[in-house]
Amino acid sequence: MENGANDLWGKNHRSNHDLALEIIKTYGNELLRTVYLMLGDFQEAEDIIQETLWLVIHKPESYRENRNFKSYLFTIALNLARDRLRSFWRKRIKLDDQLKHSKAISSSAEELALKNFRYKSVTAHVLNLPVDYKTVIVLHYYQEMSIIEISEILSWPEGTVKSKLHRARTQLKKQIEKGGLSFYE
Amino acid sequence: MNKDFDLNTLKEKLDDELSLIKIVDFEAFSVLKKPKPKARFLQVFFNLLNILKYKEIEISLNIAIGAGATGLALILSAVGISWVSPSYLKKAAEVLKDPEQLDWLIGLF
Repeated sequence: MENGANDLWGKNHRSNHDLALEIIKTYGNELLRTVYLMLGDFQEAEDIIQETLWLVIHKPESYRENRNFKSYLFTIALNLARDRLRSFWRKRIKLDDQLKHSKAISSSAEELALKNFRYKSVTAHVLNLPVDYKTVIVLHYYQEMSIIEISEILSWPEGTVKSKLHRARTQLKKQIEKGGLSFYE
Repeated sequence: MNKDFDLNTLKEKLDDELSLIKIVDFEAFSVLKKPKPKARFLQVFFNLLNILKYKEIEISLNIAIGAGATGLALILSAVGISWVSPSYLKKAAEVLKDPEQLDWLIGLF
């Protein structure tokens, strides 16, 4: 457990604004990158971060004091991202369609780079995985969480986490080898 | 360039690739308003387009959806009803200065 994280929650802040600012400064970038890995869309990831903050501040009753605050924050954000991935509108408008129509997006070098790694990078391979597989890969290999922690966050039995992780690795391996690279576990 | 993919270094690779993904304006996130999913704006405009189609009014789908939904998002943000992400506002402002890029708008939804 990270005491620092829980201290942040327990501190007396002058206002909700101060608390939100402290949370976003402490965890914002890590949270944004994790949600981006789920969604592959920068603005959608920003929306999820904002909604997570809103829920943390306005629904404090859902937080248990003995719980790791960071894990609580990531649970909310990941569940929102998973809901978003399953939403009707998101399925209807596929990523490829977005990219087809976004030729003019490249107004900056950063955006060009972002578009580039959607296709060629390790990030792209992770983004291409089905929702559940992507979730366990992100939590285990990117957030470096244990099977037990993932099991708590997703409310899945440990056996389910293990089997999904195994299948996710297998699928990731297939994708990567299809792209001509070797895969080491 | 290393062509091999090692699961043990996945985090490092992802960290490296995702280094561009960062929050520029922390203050913008401390405005505690719930964001409205952009899909909802889109839904409103799909409905609008159905009405236009019924009345046989011709309109470019991309431009109608993009401009309409973005306009609605910007208005709701400006009057403080909805939170709109800072990067979205920045891009929308750039495009509004250059109407030839209107096709870009659809890519955001």
